[in-house]
Amino acid sequence: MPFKNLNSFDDSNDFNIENIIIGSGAGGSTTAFELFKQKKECIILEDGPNVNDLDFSNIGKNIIKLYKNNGATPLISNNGGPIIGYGQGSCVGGSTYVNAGYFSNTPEWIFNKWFKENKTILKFDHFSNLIDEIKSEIKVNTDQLTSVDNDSKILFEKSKKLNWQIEKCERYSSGIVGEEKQNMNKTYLSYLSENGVNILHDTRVLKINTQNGEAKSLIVENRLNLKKYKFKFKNLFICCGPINTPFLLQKNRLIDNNENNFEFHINFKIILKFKKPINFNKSFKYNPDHPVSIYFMREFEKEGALLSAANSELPYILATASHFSDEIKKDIIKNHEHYGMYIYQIKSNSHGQIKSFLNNPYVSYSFDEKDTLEIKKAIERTSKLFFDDDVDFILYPVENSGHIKSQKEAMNLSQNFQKKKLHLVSVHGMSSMRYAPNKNSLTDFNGKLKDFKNIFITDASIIPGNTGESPQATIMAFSKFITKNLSNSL
Amino acid sequence: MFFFKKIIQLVYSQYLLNLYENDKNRVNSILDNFFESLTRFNISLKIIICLFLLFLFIVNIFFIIIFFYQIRLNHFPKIIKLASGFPYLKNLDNFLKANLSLHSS
Repeated sequence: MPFKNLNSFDDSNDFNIENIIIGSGAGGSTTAFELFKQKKECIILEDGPNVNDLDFSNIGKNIIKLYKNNGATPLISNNGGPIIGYGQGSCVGGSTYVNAGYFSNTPEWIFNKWFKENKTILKFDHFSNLIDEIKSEIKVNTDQLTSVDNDSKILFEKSKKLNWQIEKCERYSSGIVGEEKQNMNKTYLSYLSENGVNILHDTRVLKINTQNGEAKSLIVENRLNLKKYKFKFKNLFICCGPINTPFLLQKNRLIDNNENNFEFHINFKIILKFKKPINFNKSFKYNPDHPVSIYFMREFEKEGALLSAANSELPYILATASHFSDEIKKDIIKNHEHYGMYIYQIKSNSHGQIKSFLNNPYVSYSFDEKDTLEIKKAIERTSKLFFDDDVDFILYPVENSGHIKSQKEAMNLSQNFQKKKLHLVSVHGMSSMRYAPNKNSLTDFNGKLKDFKNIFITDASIIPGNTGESPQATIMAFSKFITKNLSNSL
Repeated sequence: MFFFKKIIQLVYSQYLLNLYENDKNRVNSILDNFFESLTRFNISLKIIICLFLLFLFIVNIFFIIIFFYQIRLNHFPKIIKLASGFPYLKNLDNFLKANLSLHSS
């Protein structure tokens, strides 16, 4: 889809548009789609590039171009926990372009808890209706196992053997092998663009001008030629993700406090060496459309833990193994087809706050000791699941842990690891600007920014708490809920 | 930036040659791809990485002087091993190694 950039508007420096949406990810594109349905004028400003303009020949080069802050926004612990690398998309489609595209609902019991704690007015039944609406607009399916999904097949077989609950992942997908993932570029944004809504890539918001509790205009930069433009508007929707939305507001001094509301999932990645070849992912090219895991092991989902297969192309496995010895890495290169990688996703109990260094955001978080217990369980459960005659060893993301060759060694590791020596990543952040039933709340139930009558937040920042599941569907449902609620007042 | 490209080559080419069985073409391609990405890193990360590389370079000069009798100019593997004892330096080294791996082709 030929999305535009500001080069197409060189004859004008000033724009006047009813509704401006900053960010084109799950939240921004859903907001735009709802506004369009309500016949409201809108435009989307996206900081990142148009993916169609990129060369996809190298994974590393694409990660730099497609992710915010080089794919590793740091989550830095203020109490001795590990540094966690956080990945979030920064291109047209946002994280929906770079993620695995899992379609997961926030479970009813979590929703009911939020409602009971007065963190949202959206009831689960209403949420379910919104989810059904999304499903009617975007194809959601399960994918079929192919020759490169042996890791998923093994996960399925081993889970069945232990009688652990495992089921196919629903995904924004047509369900047809080889057909592309149904990200926002291919769905809402494509539809909007075809119907005359401008989606401007490489467009960076530098300043939000406000006056008397009302946002009036934006100063925007065309990143391709550094030319500046002024956008006037009636309403401003900010959808830059759970880190960059509060960062943009802090930078413009529109919020002066930010409580420890940022919540996230921990991806505890393990690498297994199998005795027989299982991994036939030979590509070095970046392919965000390929299914990652066909199944989710859900035996411990009530505790917020999910297990799935991960990208097992050589560059990804090597990058995950970067802290291991050169001998291990040489073996991975030599016997790549014997190696598989899995993600044990943990609903973290830790909370963080958005800060910045040299005009770049990072998260300062407080590591919750309950997470140590969850990581201990992750080691014990994965060793119980995977150790069998067909597995040579497991590499756990713990510095200097080396090959773990038996359940007994894994148990020993689970009792003796140091939290500082964990190598963890995260790709799901949320709730940094959620409504809180106290006077410090930054937003109201409708995502409206406190003290400003026309600034609304409709992205992962306003999810009431940690979903424990891939948050894309929940972000979209909340975005729909807010935009529909506002329809009469906009 | 040419100066830092040279330091990256000095520090990590031996590490990569060891991993990729002395495949010089592959290693050069990884280093070139990585350097192209490094120029696009955000400013704070660029500064942190450049300071780290500068630190390695200066310590290497000290090591050349202290261990002059070894008649060696490249003490980087030893320095990296020493730096690994310090948490943030270890993190930076890991980040660079992970990024180099992602740039393999």
